Amino acid sequence: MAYLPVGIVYGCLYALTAIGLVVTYNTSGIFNFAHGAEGMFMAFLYWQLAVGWGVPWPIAMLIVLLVIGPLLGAGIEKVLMRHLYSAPLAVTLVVTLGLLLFLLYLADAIWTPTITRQPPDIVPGNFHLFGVSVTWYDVLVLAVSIAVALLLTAFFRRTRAGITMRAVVDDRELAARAGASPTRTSQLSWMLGAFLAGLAGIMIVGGRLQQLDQLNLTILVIYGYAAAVVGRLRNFRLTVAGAMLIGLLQAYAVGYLPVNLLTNLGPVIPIAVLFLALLVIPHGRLATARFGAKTRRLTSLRTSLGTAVAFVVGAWLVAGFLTAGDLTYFGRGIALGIVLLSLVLLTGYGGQVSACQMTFAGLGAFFMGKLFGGDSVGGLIAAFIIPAAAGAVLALIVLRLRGIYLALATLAFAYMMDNLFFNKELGVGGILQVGRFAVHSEQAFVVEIAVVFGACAVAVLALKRGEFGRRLAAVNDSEVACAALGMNITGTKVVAFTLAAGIAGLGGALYGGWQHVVSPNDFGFLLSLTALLIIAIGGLDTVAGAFLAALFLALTPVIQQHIGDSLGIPNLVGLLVGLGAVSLGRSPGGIAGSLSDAAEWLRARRAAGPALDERRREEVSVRVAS
Amino acid sequence: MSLAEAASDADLLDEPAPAIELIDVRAGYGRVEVLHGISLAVERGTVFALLGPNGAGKTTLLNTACGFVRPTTGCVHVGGFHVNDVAPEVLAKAGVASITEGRGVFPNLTVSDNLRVFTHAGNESYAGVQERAFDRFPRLGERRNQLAGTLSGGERQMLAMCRAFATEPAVLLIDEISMGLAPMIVHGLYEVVGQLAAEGLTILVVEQFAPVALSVADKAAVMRLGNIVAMGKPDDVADSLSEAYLGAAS
Amino acid sequence: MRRSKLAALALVAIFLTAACGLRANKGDVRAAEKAALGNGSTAFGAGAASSSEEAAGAAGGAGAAGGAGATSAGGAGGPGGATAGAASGGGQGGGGVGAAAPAGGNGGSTDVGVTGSTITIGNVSDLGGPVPGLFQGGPYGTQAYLDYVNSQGGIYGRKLALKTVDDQLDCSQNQAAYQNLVGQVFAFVGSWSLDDYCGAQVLAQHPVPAIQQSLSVDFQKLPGSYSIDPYNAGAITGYFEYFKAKYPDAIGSVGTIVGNQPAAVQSWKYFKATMESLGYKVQYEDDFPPAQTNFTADVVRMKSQGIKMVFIIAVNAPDLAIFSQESYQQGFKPEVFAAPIGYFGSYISEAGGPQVVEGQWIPVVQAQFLGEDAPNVPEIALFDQWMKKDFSSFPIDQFSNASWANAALFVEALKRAGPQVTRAKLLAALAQIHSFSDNGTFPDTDVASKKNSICYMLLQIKGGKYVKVDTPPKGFRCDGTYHNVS
Repeated sequence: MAYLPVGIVYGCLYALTAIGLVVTYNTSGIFNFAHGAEGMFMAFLYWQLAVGWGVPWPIAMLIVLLVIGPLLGAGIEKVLMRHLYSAPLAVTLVVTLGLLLFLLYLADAIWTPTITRQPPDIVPGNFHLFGVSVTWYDVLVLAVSIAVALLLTAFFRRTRAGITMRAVVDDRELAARAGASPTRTSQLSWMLGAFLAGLAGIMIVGGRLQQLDQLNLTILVIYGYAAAVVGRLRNFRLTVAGAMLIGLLQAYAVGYLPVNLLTNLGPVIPIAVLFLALLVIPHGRLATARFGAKTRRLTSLRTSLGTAVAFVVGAWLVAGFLTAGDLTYFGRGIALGIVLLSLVLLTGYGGQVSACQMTFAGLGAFFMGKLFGGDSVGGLIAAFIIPAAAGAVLALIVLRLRGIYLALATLAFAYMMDNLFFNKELGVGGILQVGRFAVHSEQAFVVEIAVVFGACAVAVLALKRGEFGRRLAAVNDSEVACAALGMNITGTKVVAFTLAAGIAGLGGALYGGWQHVVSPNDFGFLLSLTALLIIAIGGLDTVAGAFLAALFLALTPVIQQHIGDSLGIPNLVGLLVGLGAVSLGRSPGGIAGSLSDAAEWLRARRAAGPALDERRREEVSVRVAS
Repeated sequence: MSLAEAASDADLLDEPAPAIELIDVRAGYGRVEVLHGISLAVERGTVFALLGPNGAGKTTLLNTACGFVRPTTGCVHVGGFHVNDVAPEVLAKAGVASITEGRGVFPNLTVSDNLRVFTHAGNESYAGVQERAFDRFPRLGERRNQLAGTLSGGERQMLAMCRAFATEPAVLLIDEISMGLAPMIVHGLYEVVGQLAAEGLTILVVEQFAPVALSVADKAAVMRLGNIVAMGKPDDVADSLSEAYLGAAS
Repeated sequence: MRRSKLAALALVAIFLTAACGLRANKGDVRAAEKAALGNGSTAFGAGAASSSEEAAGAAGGAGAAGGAGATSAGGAGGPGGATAGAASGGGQGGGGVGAAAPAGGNGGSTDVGVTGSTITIGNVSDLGGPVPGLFQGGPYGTQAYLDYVNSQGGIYGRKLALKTVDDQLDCSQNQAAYQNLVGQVFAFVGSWSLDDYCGAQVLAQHPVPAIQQSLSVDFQKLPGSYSIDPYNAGAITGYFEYFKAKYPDAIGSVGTIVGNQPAAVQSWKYFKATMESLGYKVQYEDDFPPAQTNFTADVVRMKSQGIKMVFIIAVNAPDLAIFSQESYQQGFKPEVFAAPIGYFGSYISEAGGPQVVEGQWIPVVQAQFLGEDAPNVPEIALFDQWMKKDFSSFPIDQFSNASWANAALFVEALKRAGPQVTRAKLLAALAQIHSFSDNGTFPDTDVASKKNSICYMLLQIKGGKYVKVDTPPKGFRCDGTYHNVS
């Protein structure tokens, strides 16, 4: 009984977060990873006004929620989201992730994290209820949450703006035909989303002397995902119910679970709820539209082999003249490139968004380090096979999930692995030594990594050329059509996951060997998301994209030292990452995609005869004359 | 100003501009050109039937006229105004109503909510729109709180047709409303089309089901492979129909 | 468009390298704070460090068992005194801290990073990246000491220069930094990095002296690694025995919260084992995830279970403040509330005011560097003075204080190694330093043995101030032993 008030307050906060997420998802079809970051940013702005500049807190709140928030939301829509409405899911996820990182680093740059900040104590005092102290602030949170839920329901059911928002989600084109501007409506929905995010952010920091912390506020939204999924990403009442459930579960878990069990499960409860909800609850119609996958030319075996060999030789040469420090980045870049290759296969070709490839990499590193002495070929093989098996099992579990639900499930898996496996198992004090197979010197090992990268690249390209590649593309295009043709969809999906997990595991083993040690830090879920971001910018559906990404991973930190340091901006990178994601929104094929398009265009130009237009014109005039 | 206002202004001119005019329009999707130089004019207050087989480009033409497809060359004029770059919702607000096959309603909204969204297109109040809609289609009135997606095919098309009159548009573009419907229902819908025409609405009708469209049209054209191969009075055009649909050695 | 994409990719790439080991494990940052505080029993809350990072609590084990009971004044004839180890003065060769150049010259470039006029030392710390300024105190404290030494004329005719590299909380960057610097600097001094286990792999192949706080077992195990407060697997028992004697009923019912991070969990493991060896019983311990910043449920549960003693070591400053505040609100007042991490500038105000933390016990193993001990310990006054002089806007913290002391240790070894200094000679000199306290900043420690001192100070918060209780006004209490956890 004592935990009820606490659980309810937790639940309200999660609900506020989740509702905002559901609103933007429903009205724009985009799952906004950066929702929590928006809230975090506005909470900081509120602090700046109310505490930093002494503005009375009601005015500060009004300014942030009713002026800045909507402006922020409108700006995000105009600059980023407007171009994403028909982009593939991986790209929308990646762009919102880039926005998250951008806001996070911006907040770090503006408000130094090493100073603690506290929000104004706006409703001080408490009273006792059932023997537990409840603050007036808790009551405020509850009241605000209820008010928000009621107002939103009324808004969406009764006002034209709200109904139009739902219409735009239903059928964007039809809405335009009916005279409703989809652009204006989307803007409105993002403004509303930002308002809700800001409200949640401010409410969360205001209670019980919470500190303003950039990262925590951003991540808290993950608990909101769980609630949103319970609500099938569209139903407010269920979302609130889900949020309450999670809040109460957490409070009571602390209250009643035996403490050692709690140690393992505590942080995972909301995510476990998310995972279960994804598997169990029948899903609503997915809101995202898809554009036709781009068909690209296939690379012949000769070309891919030749390029791979050239790559290995190039790596050997470059490794020869790099300084020891720079070589560190070089080797790591190529090893991570192998993990990126796995994403090209699974997410690029197969359209299955996986937010847990680094987890598989971590498993690979783990088994490489633990088995057969840490530096044997047996370890390498295990580093492929065991993550591959894990991938197969995961694929079977999440088989019926698609689109955003699949992505969230892989994310939940990564998060759970972080908390249940890597944190406990990765060696003493969280550090595991990993050895190198066959060679030991830096330059030789770089070549070994490059060889594996080349081999995997050739294999992936060969897969794409072959029958499996065609099946994968078909399933990506239209599962329904494949089912109608009697194709084995399950097999295709599971094989894709398995291979991708194995390749990632291999990359992880080599990464570990390169660095000599690995820790849970190296494989966290945020890194899986970041890998997705990087390969998307490089070119999600091309091996060349993985190559470009690996190359840059390998070489650019060096440049960063010179540019970033000389400009005196410690977080230059983080800020620019977000900007990079913006340009991705304009052109979802990534860098490699743009290059490939350009090459295609050039080829077409040269190959075609007189412009098609002219020929047609002659034909018409002939017909008219006759 | 709205097209309706422009229309009344244009009454002062000697020769009122056509409600819709396409001048040598080429348009397509990406690298694929679908319309290879289309020119036609729909005079005010008339019904124009656009016929032709699948793939002729009829729907593309319609979408060009209401702003969803931008012409690569050529001009689109509505009510005398050059509208090549105008967004579709702006045209809709100005009085161009387009009803396309298969996508007339919002399936996850109730009938009433659908009508509420339709009010964007004009200056009518919600109450006014509802009244007009339920007057003409009482069946809808009975089902006003039902999700549009659960209506029968005919009822759905009725709801879609509401946009043709509930907000008093100036121009109506209709694309294949007969698709998948029983002939009796199709006749009923075209009766409505006829009534609207009698009330002075300019209507461009795209149809595969030629006879019923020709029966209400003042002028007709036949398209094939992105070109207009015949244009003129309905009777004249009817003769060249089979050639257009089936192709003929020229 | 293409170019912007390339640029974007470049930056993202940079980001990825910077970000590896990043936010996902902010807990480690806390761990670092913990560790930073020095193994030993002191885990000063990182007042300046980033908030809500999970407690890393790598602070882990405290002093060495070896430190032979009371140590006191090093250098000039220390008396042996037991408990009241006087603040040791001297211990540094001769008068001032500098050392004049010998007549025949100092031998010029006798080793890597050494010239006739300069010795260059390296510092690899977490300065930027995801948590800007995390361990800024590391290089600052080191630099302050070097400036002080240089102002006294340097060592044997050489001035000391510092080369600092920011590893941005990234394993690869840490490794790369050590790779690059190993061929340029004479030794490493005063670094603070959560990723030093990565750099340790490099130093394992190069016997370079590293006089700094290790935050990982791997780094601590390096033969060249020395510190005034080594990182060992265990904890000192002194203040636990004090509490046991003073509050015998309370020790049977202890509660704590632990940041769910490997280093924090490990640190707590050492302390728990130490406590249990003395008969304490931990009835409530709860791991919490990085994102959690509300401990009401824990407080409520502890209260209802009748927990009599709270001992918190493996969280960071802001979380401790929150916990204190919530305990106060819920009316939870255990007999003993002890948190070695609670000694930092903004703790009392963050917790909500003096009344919230009144009576809390804060055992520490450094002199009160915030200034209270300045009159007693000239070195503290010197430290505060030079920090203010060089970095006036920087809030003094335990990282800078520990780096200052480690820099002093380095300089002491430099002096003993003689003018024709080489890395080998420096290592040999370090291996001979059996008594060093940086003039009372730390308890006297047998640096060569790499074991911790068992000494500590008992502070209690009274009337909003940190007041020494049952501790000599100058110096440390030196009772108890060091409990090793294998």
